[in-house]
Amino acid sequence: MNDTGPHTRPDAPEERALPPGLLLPLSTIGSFPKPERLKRARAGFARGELDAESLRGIEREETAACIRLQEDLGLELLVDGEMYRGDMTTYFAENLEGFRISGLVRSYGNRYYRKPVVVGEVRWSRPVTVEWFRFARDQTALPVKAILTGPYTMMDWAFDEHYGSRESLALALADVIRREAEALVEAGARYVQIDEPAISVRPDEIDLAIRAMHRVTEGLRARTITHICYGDFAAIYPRLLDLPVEQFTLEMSNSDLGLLDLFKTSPFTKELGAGVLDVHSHAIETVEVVKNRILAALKVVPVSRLYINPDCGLKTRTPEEAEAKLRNMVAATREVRQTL
Amino acid sequence: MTRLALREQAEAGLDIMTDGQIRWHDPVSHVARGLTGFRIEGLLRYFDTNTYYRQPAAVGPIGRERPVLVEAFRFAAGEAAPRPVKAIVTGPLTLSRLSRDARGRGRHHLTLEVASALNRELKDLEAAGADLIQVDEPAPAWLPADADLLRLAMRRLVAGLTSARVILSITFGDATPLLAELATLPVALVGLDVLAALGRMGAAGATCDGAADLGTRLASVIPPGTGLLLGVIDGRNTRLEEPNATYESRVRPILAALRKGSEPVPEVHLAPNHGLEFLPRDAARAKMTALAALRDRARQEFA
Repeated sequence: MNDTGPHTRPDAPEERALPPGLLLPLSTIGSFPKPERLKRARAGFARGELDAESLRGIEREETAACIRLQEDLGLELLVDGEMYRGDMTTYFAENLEGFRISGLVRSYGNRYYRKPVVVGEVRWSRPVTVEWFRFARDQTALPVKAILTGPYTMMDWAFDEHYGSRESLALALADVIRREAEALVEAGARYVQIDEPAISVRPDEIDLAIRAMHRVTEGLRARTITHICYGDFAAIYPRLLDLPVEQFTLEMSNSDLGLLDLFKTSPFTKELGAGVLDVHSHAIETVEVVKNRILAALKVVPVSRLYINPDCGLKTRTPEEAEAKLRNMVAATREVRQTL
Repeated sequence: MTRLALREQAEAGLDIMTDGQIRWHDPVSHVARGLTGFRIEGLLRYFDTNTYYRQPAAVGPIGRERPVLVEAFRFAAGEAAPRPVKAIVTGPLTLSRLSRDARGRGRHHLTLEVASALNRELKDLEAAGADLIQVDEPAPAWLPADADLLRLAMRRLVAGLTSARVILSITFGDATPLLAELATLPVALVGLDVLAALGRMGAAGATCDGAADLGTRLASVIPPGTGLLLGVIDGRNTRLEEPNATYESRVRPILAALRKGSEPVPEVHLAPNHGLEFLPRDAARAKMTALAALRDRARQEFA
């Protein structure tokens, strides 16, 4: 479990940002599909047939390939692609103190994952994602967004055998994630996304989620973003906007852009990363379809505050589907830019 | 896998089994898919779980042309015999609340249409030998305003059943604020999440007194002849209950209050507060064993 990252040169952090005045910046939510060879390597590692260093080597190669792909497609705010992460909560749980990992639990149909179990006090003892952030940054001249799982979601998606209080656990996790966010900023991250997909399902706990996010982002020297998806937004809107982040990347296309109607009831006051690709559908949206989604978002959020991204992480799609979808997203965005 | 699920229940010592809902992709689309008038759409999160269901959209008149769950019930009942198997059906309120009403005819209408369609399913399950049919309705605990609609839907759902006994199981939250309404429903047993009910009491809920209060309230509201399915084991968390402590603090006080407060003493089933599908298998097995231990202690004292 030690040394989770690749080896990179420990140079001075170099700050990179999106070009000023760039309209509709193109980004993604975080995860990319794992290529077959990586899936096989992960399975081999799990069975004890492949050693950790060999797996790391393949993860490094695929991370570099993922960065190249994003550059080739024309994305502008890159991610490391999460080739080295399994589930978004389990990955962090494996690398923090206070957790064990459960047996398989079902997420939908025949998809299963291993879930974190909190068995002691959660603690941050060393950086989890920083080496990977550095490695990804070294592959490109473009800015790279760091992706963390938020404290509320880490709490809600774990079994708690220790704290016995959702509040205590969420706030303890917030302190842990704050340490990681600071380490990323220290390493040069200018954009930090703290994913909180669980926030949208328990409207009565939105205050707790906001308090926990405060602990993570207050005074953090980076652009802060959160990602939320697949829940009842109406129940927490506009209170949602009180989450202390500058940008929300939201799932919108899976729900037929219903969110935009919600934003007409009360203005969306932050930056919006509009989800214009349904990542739960095999169908490749045409350029025209994506364009119309962008134009619909532009009617509700001013262009100066609009970012373009898929609904959610792309890891559930095949590499071919993800690439084709993103290609059309980039083409559609470029066409819309010409009309602005 | 269904055989394995049945075997694990038998090995744990459960008295009434289920088919484990092994073939269900999720609690909503599995049933909606078998009805006419629904189109199955994108994935949505299922309540506050990190699991998903495919959302049905009501696009036409809701009906049922052929049985949806009967074949799976027959298979499980045949495999489990002589142990009884209870059939599980997602309730009309939940199906309608978690669907998208693409026809614009309103939630009320959709719920009652679903109830009529499922009424035919319940009758077929009864004809296939199901003596006990559990209707899962997590929606009312989340949306208590629907108590009136729940009553109408339940009446329609169970109309014409002759021998099968229906359990209405309300999970995903504390249903005790609805107790008065639940007591008037035409069902044999009402299923409650005891952990959620005690959780709402705060610190008192963790004590024998809190559990005794809950038992007294149940005794005063539940009418003679109505039984209870008590969710006393946490099906949402891997933390394993210690049977003796759980029995003393949670089960015994409720059963004692029921014995004291109701005449005749109601039929009580002990269960997890939820289906075990959210747990890893090892934890689910351990929970079933703990449940059987609670049952043994309760039988010793109260049978």
